Amino acid sequence: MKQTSVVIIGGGATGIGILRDLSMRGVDAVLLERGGLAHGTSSRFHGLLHSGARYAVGDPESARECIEENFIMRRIGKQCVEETEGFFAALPEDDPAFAARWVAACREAGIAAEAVDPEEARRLEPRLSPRVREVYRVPDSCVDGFRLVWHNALSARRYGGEALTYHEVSAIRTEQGRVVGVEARNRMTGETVNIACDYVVNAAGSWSGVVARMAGLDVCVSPDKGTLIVFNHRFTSRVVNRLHKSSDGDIFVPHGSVTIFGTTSTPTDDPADSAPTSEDVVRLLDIGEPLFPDLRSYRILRAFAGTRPLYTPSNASGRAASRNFHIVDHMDEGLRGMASIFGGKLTTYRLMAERMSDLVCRRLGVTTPCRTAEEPIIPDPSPETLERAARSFPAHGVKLVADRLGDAFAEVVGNTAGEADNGMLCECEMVTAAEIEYVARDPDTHSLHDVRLRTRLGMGTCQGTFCTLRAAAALAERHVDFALSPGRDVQNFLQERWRGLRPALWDTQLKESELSRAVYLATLNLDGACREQNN
Amino acid sequence: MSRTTDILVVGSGMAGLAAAIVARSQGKRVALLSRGCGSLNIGSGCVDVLGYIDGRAVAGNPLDALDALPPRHPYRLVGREGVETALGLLREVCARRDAPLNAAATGNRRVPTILGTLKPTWLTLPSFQAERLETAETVLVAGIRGLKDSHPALVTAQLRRYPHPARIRWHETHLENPMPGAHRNLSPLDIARLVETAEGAAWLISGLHKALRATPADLVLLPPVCGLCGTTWKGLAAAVPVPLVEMAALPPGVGGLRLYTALLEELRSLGVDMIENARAVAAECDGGSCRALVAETACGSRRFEARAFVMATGGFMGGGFQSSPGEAREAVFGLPVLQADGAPLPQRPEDWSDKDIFGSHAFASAGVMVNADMQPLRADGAPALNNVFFAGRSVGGYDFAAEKSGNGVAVATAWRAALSACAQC
Amino acid sequence: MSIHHPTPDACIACTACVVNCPVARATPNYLGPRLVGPAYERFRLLGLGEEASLHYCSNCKNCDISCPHGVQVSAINMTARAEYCLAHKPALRDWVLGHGELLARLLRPLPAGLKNFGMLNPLTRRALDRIGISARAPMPAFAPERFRDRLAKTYQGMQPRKVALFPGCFIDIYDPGTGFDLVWALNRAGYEVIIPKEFSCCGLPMIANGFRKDAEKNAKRNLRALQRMRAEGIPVISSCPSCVLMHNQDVPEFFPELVRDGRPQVLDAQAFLLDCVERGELSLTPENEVAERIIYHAPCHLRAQGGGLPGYELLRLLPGLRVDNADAGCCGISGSYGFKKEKYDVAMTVGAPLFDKVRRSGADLSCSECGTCRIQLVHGANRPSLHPVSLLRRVLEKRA
Repeated sequence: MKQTSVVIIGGGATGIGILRDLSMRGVDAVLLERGGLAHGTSSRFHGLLHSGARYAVGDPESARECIEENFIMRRIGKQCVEETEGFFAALPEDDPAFAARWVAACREAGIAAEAVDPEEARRLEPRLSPRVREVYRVPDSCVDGFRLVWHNALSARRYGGEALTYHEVSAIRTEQGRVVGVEARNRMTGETVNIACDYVVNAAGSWSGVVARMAGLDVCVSPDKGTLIVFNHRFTSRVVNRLHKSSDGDIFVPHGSVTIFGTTSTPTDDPADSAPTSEDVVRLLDIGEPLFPDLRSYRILRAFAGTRPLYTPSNASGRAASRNFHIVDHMDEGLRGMASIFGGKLTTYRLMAERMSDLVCRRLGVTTPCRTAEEPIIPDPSPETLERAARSFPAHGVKLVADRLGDAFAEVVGNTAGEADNGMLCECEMVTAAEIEYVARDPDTHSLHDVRLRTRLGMGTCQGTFCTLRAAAALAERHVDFALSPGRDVQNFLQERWRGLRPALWDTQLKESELSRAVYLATLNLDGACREQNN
Repeated sequence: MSRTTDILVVGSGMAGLAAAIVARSQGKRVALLSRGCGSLNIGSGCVDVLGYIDGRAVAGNPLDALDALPPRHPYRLVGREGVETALGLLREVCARRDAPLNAAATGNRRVPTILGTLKPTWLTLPSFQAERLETAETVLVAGIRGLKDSHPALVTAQLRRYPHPARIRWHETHLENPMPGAHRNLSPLDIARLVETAEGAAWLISGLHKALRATPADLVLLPPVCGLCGTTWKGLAAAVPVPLVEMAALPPGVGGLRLYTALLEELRSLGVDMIENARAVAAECDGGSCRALVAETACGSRRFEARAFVMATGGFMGGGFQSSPGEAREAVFGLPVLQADGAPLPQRPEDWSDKDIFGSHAFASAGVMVNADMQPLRADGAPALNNVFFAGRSVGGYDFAAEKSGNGVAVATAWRAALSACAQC
Repeated sequence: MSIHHPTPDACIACTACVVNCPVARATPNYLGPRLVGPAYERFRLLGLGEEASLHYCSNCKNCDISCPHGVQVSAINMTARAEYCLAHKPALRDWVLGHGELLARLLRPLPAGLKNFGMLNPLTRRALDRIGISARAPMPAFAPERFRDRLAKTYQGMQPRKVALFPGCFIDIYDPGTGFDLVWALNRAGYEVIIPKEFSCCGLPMIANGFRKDAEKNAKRNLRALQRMRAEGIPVISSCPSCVLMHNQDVPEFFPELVRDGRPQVLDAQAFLLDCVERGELSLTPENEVAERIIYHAPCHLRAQGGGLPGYELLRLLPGLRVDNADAGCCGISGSYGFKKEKYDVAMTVGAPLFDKVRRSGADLSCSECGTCRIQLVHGANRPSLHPVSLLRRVLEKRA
């Protein structure tokens, strides 16, 4: 049996933030995640690092937390943040009284909201509607949630924290009103793992209701589904919010090479409900068109959905439910050694982790203070590493790779030094063979799909048509094997991409799909081979 | 511009080129209008006829299996004899142009691919004579350093998973990078072009000799890098002691370019007028016939008059169909794009496709409904236009990707459409 | 984003442009049109640095011609070049190559002999070579007098109709003879040829060398005249395919705000002549027995226009001539590209299949609409080269 002080359930931003925080304070901790890291909500949102302006009117407390954390994040997680700034833009049909209230509320919350002349705004963002009547500039930014989680995991690892992915909690063991351990099943091997511990943190997000029930508890968390659209290119270089009462489809976020647009809000019973629908996609386009009149002419790469874990003690749901976070110490319900954390948003993940870790430390008698607001998650690469990287990576790919890899960058650069060619396997998103091999060799990587999440392989224009095969071939050549045969792994990869393509299958993306079928079915007969080959 | 031609063929993929050749050979004045170079020249160049029916592999000569297809399938409309004649004509042209096509004696060739799969196909260039694998005992799979698309380790790992050629002993080798220091990823096409030069051919021949000395084998599999013309292939095949077999690869697939070049040469020698970079967007119709097509070009709209029209504009990918959420139309005449059974496509975009990426998708076999003359049909089954004929992917009722029937249907329907068009003028 | 960017959205990465790019075929140092164009455009919008091999793009537009999906690959590349040149001042050499017309105007007071002695003697060529204009590249010689100046002094007879000619720099500065061949044909068809005074370089060499602002200035000037001609109902033609393409396609693409009131129409002069034949204005009855074998080369910028090959059609209508289409792709010169020292070999490699075809054709003459294509054809294939209108005149004009 494994032994630790704290077991954290849930490998999203909150859970991994807690793992890092506790590890930095010298507390032994193990994190259990049923899928890959950040497979849930932390990678299924629009990627907005809130300035808080969006919450200024309805939820001033969240707004204040956001603006503080926003600036902390720019400092500690700059590899995950792109400092774009944001616009709030009102159209003639939007209530001018709301704008006035919003400006006052921003001032109150300490959020700089500076009026921009609409002409100037259009010069800066030429695709914006000429009908915009009022524009404000706020310190919104963009954040890569997936990368943030991974960088936290790498940092936690450095401090001795352990994250077990594809481990699903099957039981929480209690003795005499006190938590004594957790049982989990390794979903890759089927093995059962028992971990004895003093404390359990439930940070399972949309799944936290399920986890709490294992300890006989009932918590008020309702999953709320949000659908988003990914566009092929950056048609805005700033976050653009519609200046009105928060609603569906009013945020545009430039995210690396793409633009993400969302979100819808639909209550759901299933925390794993991440299937976007074409109705949602078409509805979002309708809603977004007033701000970006050419929206329908921009190519949609795919759609995706995630669930928000809303804390709903009073049965409020959807947009009415608070976006703030809550910590419940289950001691109040008679169970010692367990607490749950719900709600919140990615922007405040660090603060949530800090508050939760404070509680855990209090219960464990640890007095070391939190340092996560000061210490950068990932140290900067050395100038020598950057210089060496420039020799084996495409010129402007260096920054992309360095930011993506974080800690591992120096090692990957070292690995490429001996190679005659470090070819770019994914030409749409500039992912090189060395990076793919490094990530594929990570024990937490089990498939090309996992490689994609950390590298952006297959996430660009061709959605995997060219790079999937190249990556499979390069890995075979480098003797990196996964549980599935390369053929099946490629099929699964394409299948996953297919899920996001189907609800937006028209125009250019339908062309792309016909090309992809021409390649994988007509030329390569992968469908026939999957029937004819042994796995 | 309003100079009239007899037959205007639209599209420069396999169907368009074949239709133009057939029509011109009948003595008609033919112009070929195209926007882009079509998809033949990026493909593998294998002339698939029929590999699978509903997921079951076709055994023996695929022409014998055509009768098992549904009655609205384009092959059934053209008829077995027509399909055979059309393929025969293609073979004649390609043989004349140094790109000979032939079939295996017993049935579909199972061409190896760079993914380590076997793809059933009917006519191929001599470099894809996969049946040679059936008698080989030791096979050397050659990769080329610097070529990202093709790695022997993947090929052997996957080919070993077939129960049938299990007795084969597979070996891997790498030829040295012939273009070290290249700034871009090399494609098989880069290397095939290099092999067209004397130094390139020498590099390939000596590399293969060296590899075979180190690892003797009965046969070598390699990516499609053996030059671009038949003469080059013959020279290579004669200079290497064991048979060479090329594997089908990702675009640019080289094999397709070999066929494309051959067909273009034929077209030009026949005197077909080529109008490039013009996208047909509308038609001027008069009652039941079409007078002219209107094309968008870099210099504005232009009219192209003809007495008959062959539309080989492709499907969704080729731009022959336009689609928006829940709607698809043929791009020039606005004809409905219908499912294989003649039903309209579903209103929800999600229902156009199956959840399983390899499942049966409504969009994949959707197209323009035609009669046996390749005339587009109205809802009541009567021809919508008497001098317009469709060919290739724009014709509905077949799924080229799942069936492995793309170039075969293209050639067969093009032949029929071209003859029907000739009969009109 | 200070410059209007064409969208990369239509690209599905099918590789058609990669197969058909003549520069990518000639050198593995060019990343290729798909990557440098639409693929990297997505990263340029993200503010990431420029791809090192962008300068290899010759703007020949074979990517646009071969793209089945309507991606304006060359426009994306030229926009990227314009932005690059805003950040990095282009070299003197590029200024010289981009501003041939201005240079000619500056040198105007000098007699042609002196100018040509000044520009073409080995010493100057060595100096030009040092700033990056290859000493091996063929250089056109200045004409004694500019075409438009000479035309202004030429009596064209009483003609019932008028046509405006956009001469293009090549004819205007180096090759007035071809210009007069065209004027001869148009006069014969009953057209008086006028050249509005605003007409100046179409701007294509400026775009290709990164001088977007200058191109915009010229576009404005030219548009003033084009709009006036349109108001007066006078058709505007040009015998230079690159100028036609620039006016009709590139100006509206690069400077959409300049053409809000409608796109300008500059017609291909050879298509115009064909129309004259069709309308019965121009008879093609030959006066001379010219039993020549001609090999025709279609300029890439003509193929890109989507109107077929009217010059070739015209030649085929001329009795006695035996005309074959070389159909061997780009000649390599692409305006000023092949003059550049570091591009000279690339350009010659690009043109090699064409040169080979011309040499082996058995033809006495090659023929092409584009002036710099003809220079390159003479240089690479060692055969004289003429514009189709010059051949037309040879066949139709009664010799004294």
